[in-house]
Amino acid sequence: MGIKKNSLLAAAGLSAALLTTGQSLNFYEEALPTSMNPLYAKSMVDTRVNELVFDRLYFHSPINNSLVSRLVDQWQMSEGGRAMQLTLKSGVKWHDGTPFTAADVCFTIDAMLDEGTPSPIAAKQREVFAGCEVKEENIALVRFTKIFHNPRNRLGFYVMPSHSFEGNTAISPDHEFSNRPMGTGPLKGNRGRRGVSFNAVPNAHHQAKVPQMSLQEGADPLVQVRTLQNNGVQGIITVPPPYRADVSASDELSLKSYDLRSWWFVAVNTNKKHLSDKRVRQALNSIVDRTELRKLSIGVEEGEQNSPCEFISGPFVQTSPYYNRAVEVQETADLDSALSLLQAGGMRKVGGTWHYRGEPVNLKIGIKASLDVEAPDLLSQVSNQLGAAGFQRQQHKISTDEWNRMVVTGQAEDYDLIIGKWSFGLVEDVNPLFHTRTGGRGGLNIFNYSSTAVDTLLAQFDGARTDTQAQDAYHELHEVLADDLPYLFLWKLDTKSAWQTSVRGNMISAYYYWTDFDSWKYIQ
Amino acid sequence: MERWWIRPVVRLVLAVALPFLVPLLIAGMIWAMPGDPASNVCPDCSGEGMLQMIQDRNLDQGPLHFYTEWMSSMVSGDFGRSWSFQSGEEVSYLLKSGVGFTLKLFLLGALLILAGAFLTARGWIPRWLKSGIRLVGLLPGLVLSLAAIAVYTVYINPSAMETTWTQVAMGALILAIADAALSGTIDGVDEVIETEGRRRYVQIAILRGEGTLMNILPNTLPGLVGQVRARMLSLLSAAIIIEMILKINGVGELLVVGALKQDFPLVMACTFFYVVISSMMLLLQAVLEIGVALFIRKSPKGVG
Repeated sequence: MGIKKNSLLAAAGLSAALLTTGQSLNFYEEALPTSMNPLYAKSMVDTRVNELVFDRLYFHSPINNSLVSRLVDQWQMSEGGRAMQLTLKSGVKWHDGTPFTAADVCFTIDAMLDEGTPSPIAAKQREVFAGCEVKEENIALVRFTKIFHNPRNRLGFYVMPSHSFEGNTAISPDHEFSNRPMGTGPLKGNRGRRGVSFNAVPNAHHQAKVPQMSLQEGADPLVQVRTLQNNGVQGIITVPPPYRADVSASDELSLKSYDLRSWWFVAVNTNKKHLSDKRVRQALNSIVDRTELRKLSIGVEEGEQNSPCEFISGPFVQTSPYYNRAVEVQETADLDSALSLLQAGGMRKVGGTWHYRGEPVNLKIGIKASLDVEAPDLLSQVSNQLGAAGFQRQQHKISTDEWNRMVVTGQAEDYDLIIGKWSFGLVEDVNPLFHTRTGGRGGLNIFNYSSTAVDTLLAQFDGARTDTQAQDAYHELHEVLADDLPYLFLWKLDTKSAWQTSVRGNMISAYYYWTDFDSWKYIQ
Repeated sequence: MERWWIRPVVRLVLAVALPFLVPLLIAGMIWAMPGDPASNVCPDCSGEGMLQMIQDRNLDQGPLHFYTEWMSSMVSGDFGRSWSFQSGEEVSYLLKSGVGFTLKLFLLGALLILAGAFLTARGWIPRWLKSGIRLVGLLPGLVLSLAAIAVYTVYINPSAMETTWTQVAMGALILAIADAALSGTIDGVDEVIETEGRRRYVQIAILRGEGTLMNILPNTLPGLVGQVRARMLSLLSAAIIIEMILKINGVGELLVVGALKQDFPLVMACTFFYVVISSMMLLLQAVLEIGVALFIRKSPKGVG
């Protein structure tokens, strides 16, 4: 009996080992991509997947931060700075072997300009591009709507193949390309039920050393970490702070910094009558004890060195050139100040509960559900602090779908407060977050906040011809927002990935993650 | 019972009508949901492209138009494209990829239960085993599924993208034994045999040296078939939950995910699949009832 049992266990172990090893490099993502068509990317997962499958015309090198291109050989300005002539590199091919040409660059721009493409990303690009002309097979002339001080920075879009759409520039999200895209990137991706499988496609400008990869949706972070420790997967894109010690303790695993420039906030619905007065929002800002929140939800003690969590006072991370250091951070609660601000804002405390115009104030608070993994119980802790200050409240977790469908589109107006996180690349363009929703602007304005002063500053940033002008506009914006508080700004939380040490050369690029994927190796 | 044919005919009519009625109901529900379905499908889209997309998705002329367009495309095997679950993928492809797993799971589970019923009828299941099955049957399928997926993920196949036979076999076993599915069947069969076996005609048949089962069957078959149909339908429902938890790439999981993501072409197609199965069972029951009445009892008036 004992021998039989041992044989069965050995067989099971062998089967498990055979099943868990192979050529493929497997990793856990935060979720599955919503669409693999770059024009319909909605989440960071979508952006990261696009970086594997497609090439951007220009990108910042993860090594020296210089603006470089894998597709463009030469460029020169023309038409007085309103156009740029691009000479493309030769030998670049799409995943099906079709040569990459200037027609593809112009097709992508035309698709973005086509009103028949109902993409919010394309709508934004219509403010940048005026058109594109194929001069020769490898030469394209890109026209801008105005003179930009950094025109090549504007060419950071993913190029799509004309032949996949048979030249039809009105691109629908329902096109099969959204599920089986074709790019010039290092890997060809194929979305399945449970994940995305990638296969390397050698190209003149890409030589991926990892032949196969698979992306899977990570569930519970503890299960993710245990599976990584068992070598069931080789990487996790984001490891929440509470699990980082576990990863660090293993010799087989390494934690890698992922510069996502992301910051957390509590968006305040300024259109609700009881929150429309700035003083009430300032009072809420004083009630929120960030130090306590950070301790209870992320586990960072006060004064801890090398904290993964850094407080912010405005819509930028502290390392950003746009961060205004003159604006002070509210680290702890100031309940006395909150009390006087609430009274000045028309609130009255009756029986320990704040009332506005005779009605008790009941705050509906939501959090993007996926954030609850990174900062467990943050929703409850914020709610507790507001409850202790005398507010009634309801708590809700918002699914990723609901977030994409309702929150970022400004349709979650029944909420009073929403806890969320925004992530940025090197260009921290916060215009879509705070601009009045009009004419395609303010596309990510959660509660349809509107302020003339803010809109003016955002227009100043848009029209800036130099970096200094752009910085000045955003420094002032930081100050105005910290006073008007459409958001209660919380913190920047470091993002860390975990990879098996058998994965070498894995340089993680800021925001896009996989920009330098060609250097990645998986040694089994 | 002069009108013995009423029940089978009602079943036949329902079997034919359900595949038409249920999609209509779903189309109505899409419009009954809060907000405008056209803007719900892509809230951040705008312009001409948005209008074209609404037209392409048949959301521009109300639920009846949506329903008729969907039905006419469906007849030619075109279930449309997924809106949000796997944007751009053909729903027929997704459905095809899921049908096999759902049927395997369901049929394996059903086979286990039918085998249990047969063995009980023959008296081949010992009492201790029945007690054991009853004990395990007390556990909810949800709990067993969670335990199974934990074991599967940690020890067997942590990075599975495709569904394996192991997952299906685990699911079928849970489907059969959890929530008293098998033990309920065994007890039910025991009870029918015991009750019917006490009847005079069976006692006489036994004295004549005939078998009990063959004598009770003609009288109990229509009722038993009805019970089996109800049991199979509850198995199908339970299979949806098991597919979700055990990560089996079946139609049930597609249905749930499609509903969560408001992917209505997917929801319509998956629901249609379940409705067709349900209709087929109704049809089978009706045919059996008629068959028993006309050919086995040879006296339709006696059939209730």
